[in-house]
Amino acid sequence: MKAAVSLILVFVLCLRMLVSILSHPLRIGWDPALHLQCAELITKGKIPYVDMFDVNPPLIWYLDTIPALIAAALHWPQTLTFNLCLLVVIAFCGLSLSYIINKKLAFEGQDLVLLGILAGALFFNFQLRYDFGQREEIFVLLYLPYLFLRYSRYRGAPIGTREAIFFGVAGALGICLKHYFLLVAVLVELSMLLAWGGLKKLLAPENYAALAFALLYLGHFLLTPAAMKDNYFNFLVPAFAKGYGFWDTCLANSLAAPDKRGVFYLTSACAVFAFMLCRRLPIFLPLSVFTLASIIPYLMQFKGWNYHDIPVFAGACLLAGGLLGFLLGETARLVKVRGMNEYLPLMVVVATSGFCLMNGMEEVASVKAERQFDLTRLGYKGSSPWSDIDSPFTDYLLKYSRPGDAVIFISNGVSPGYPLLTQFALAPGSRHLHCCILSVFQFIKEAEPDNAEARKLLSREPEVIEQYGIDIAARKPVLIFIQEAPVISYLNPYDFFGKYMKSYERLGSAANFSVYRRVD
Amino acid sequence: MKSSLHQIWQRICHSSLSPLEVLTCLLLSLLLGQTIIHQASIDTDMAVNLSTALALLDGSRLYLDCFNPAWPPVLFLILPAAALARALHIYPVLLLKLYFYLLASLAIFAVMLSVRLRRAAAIESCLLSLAAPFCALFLLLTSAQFLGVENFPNGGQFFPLMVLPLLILQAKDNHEPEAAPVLSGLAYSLAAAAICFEPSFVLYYLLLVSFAGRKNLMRNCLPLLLPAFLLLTFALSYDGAWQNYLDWSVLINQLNFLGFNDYLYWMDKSPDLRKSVYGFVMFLVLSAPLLVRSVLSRQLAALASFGFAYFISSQTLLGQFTLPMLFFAGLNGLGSLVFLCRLARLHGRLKKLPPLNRRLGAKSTILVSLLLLSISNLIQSLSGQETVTIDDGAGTRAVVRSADLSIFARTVLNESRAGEPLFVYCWQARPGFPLTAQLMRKPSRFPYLYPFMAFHHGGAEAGACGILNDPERLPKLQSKFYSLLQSELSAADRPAFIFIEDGDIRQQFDDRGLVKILDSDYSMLASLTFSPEERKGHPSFEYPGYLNAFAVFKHR
Repeated sequence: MKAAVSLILVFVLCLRMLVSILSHPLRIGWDPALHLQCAELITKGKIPYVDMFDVNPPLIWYLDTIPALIAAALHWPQTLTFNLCLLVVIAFCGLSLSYIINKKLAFEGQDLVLLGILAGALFFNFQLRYDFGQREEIFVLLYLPYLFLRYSRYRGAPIGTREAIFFGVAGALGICLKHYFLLVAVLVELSMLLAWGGLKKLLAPENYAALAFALLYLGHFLLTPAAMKDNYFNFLVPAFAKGYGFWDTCLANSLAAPDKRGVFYLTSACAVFAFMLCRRLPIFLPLSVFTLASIIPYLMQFKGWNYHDIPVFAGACLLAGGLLGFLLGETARLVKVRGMNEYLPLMVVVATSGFCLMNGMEEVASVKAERQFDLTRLGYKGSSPWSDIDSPFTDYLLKYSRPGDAVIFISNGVSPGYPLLTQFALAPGSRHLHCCILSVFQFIKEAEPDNAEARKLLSREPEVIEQYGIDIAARKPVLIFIQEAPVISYLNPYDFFGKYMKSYERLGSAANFSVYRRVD
Repeated sequence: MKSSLHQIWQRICHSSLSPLEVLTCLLLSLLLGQTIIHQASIDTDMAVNLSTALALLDGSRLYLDCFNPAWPPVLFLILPAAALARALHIYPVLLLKLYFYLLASLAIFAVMLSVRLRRAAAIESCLLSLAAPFCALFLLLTSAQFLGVENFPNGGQFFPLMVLPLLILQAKDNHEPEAAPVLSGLAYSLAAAAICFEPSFVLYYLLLVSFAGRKNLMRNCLPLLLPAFLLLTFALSYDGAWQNYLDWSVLINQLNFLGFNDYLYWMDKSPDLRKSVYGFVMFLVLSAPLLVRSVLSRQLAALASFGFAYFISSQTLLGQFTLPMLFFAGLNGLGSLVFLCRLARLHGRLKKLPPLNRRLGAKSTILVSLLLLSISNLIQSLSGQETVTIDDGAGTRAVVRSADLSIFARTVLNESRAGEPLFVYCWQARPGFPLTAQLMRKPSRFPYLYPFMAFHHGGAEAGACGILNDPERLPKLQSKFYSLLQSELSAADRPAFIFIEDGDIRQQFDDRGLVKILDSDYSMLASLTFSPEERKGHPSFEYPGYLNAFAVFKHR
């Protein structure tokens, strides 16, 4: 495939994404906002799991320190900076795939198929909206170039050591974001090993590099402060291992619910055709395995949360793109117009560019027509659509807080505290960025046997409540939002309101939250 | 006739079987033994279909006098078995199972013959040699009657079995000999019967025949004629039959698909079959070496992937719906393992293992199979399990193992007489079925209240999709639904026993005065639950949603 065509495609799609990002400077999902918050706290010298509590492993926070530092240096909204950094990752993915496809897989001679796969790899990012920036998305973007490089290796393409190490490290960075992703990578590798054999191909520089990175990441825990290690490995990890089931759903809701099954139908349909074509188009084998194997982590987590199936969706988009490309190619072959094969990829890119232009203009027009939030209220320039910050709590935050103020959301979910705190540049009023841990304790009490380990974990519950109290006293958050059900039932046994909320008056209620304002 | 049968028998006795074919025969004999011993154990949906088939034999009109979400072809498929059971006064559940056992044996026999016909390359022989024993083992394990699972027979189990012969024959190269007309005919007939189980199997079948491209296009369309013919037969059976089918089967199933069941959103509300999905994925990964080398392997992978969509479409995601994807993926994965073992052997690691190519006489195999059948039945019968006699009050009796009877059987047997009708008003088939069929009781015209959830949802999603263009259609159906229930509860020949599920159903019955009708002649006997004590000693069953208790009303 002509390299220029694929580069133009990457450029056009990234440009389209840039338009979307710039049109929505404050748009961000809850988990990415939470991770960004943790990253910001790290840049200010705070220690994970000591000065801020969340159960996620820290790699994503380390990565997010890049946008956090850039935002601080350039005085840009963190959300915008984060999204722009993610766009860089998307561009990296697109350019890397383009490079590998053109330099390593050109011999396969399937220009349109590979162009379609490339388009799919970029297209899925457009569908994510509030899940834009989730670890699952970053995993896909960093892992795909590594997957393609491994595929090239198995197909006998020459690969230099430096590029192997580069993509190996990038792939490992993606895989290490969540331990579940390792399973996907192993299964894809296994499928290629079984299909095209050769243990020698397994022992390749990119795999060594990936392994080295993973060991480095695991090893860094040895160098972390003792309190961080203790809180993470002896408290948070065992607690969530036992109590994460609080948010479990059932298989029917995970796969067959109307808002979820579309992805799996698309996956099945694409897999049917991809398997049929995998002798003629061998790239479909690892891509199909990637897509189907990604269902396993989605089900292992068993929450039915849409973002957990991002890799499945991404894989399905890759396959769909490739299959469309194949269909176009076959149609062109049947139609037998002279020069069609040469110009068809370019025509596809031109059509895509045209569509992106129209679509981009539509988005800009619709954003302009929306009610806007003036970013000068946050000390920035420009505006953002009101819909990006609209929530039952927005009016309270705008009326009673200013950027830099401390606010607490005592909620057993990441949302609604995040992304609101990040969007409004508010400081967390407690080291507990959310109180998921309290629901974890509740689940342990109800579902786990009464043994020494459970009792040891549950003995931390009073400490958590007390830490909230200490933080409220120290940081004096201007607003506290407390989730009515089920959180108030967790707090009442400790006389939380009597002990720690004396300086607060209840303003009202919004979306199952009681709103309290500091009065002194 | 006698001499040709004798000639066939002589040919069979003088033929020889490969070790894997022998294994297949042994597994089939084990399955037969299990089927005979556990004669009361039957798949829930098939039990519902059996009751409906018996009602049709009594003169009921489908979707007018008796209702079932299944489509007519599957009911007509089992009608011969139901009729034979009625005529010979044989326990219908047993006869139906033996009927399907025969179908399965024919399918596996067809697989064996198809495999023999194929002089496949070494790669495909890994898959083909496994096909027949895999089918038998798959059937034995997924029936698992000996493990107390009510799973035989069901569509998900039988479809892959019955289309496999055609798949194998289709995948042959041009230089391989043509299949004998008998074998071809058998393969197509089995495929036709397989399609009859469910409408979605039509799509499944079309995918399968698409692999053959335009080759044999006309012949490949022939199996579709059977369900088409059966549908036509049904449509002509009485005035308004087709519209009733569209209303009570097609529409309700569509509504249930579109309006996802609220009960299934929460934790533990559907069976946790994640391991089946993991197994499906793992088998496909394992089949990688064959996928890039064998067209049959690719076809199996495609069929397995379609099976995943079939699983999701079931909504309730019960175990039987995992079977097609597991069958195709499993055969593929195991074939791949055989391929890898052969490769390892070629490269010297397993060279010392003797090859499995010694053939055995068919006569010895038959004798050993019969012996195995007798021994397994003898062992089971000596196990001293409690039995109970079931009587339909019309001359059909059966002695069945108590442990095979579904939950609540003891209460029904103790508190009612043989043959007395039993109505279980529940939005799922369980626990009313297979209990009602096992005890040979006449059910309500609605074997279970499958339209309930569709009415409960209201059809908003269907309206949005354009499926429900007439806004009055659903309310009319709902009104008819409850008036039919009212009329059967007010009828002279009311059942001795009525179960009403607590929760939304009981609430609706109360609101519509249906429970009030029972006040004069019924007294509430008990509240039965799915407590562990109740379920102990009965076959396990999958139950999506809330495990509500049942109010049990007994006729005074």
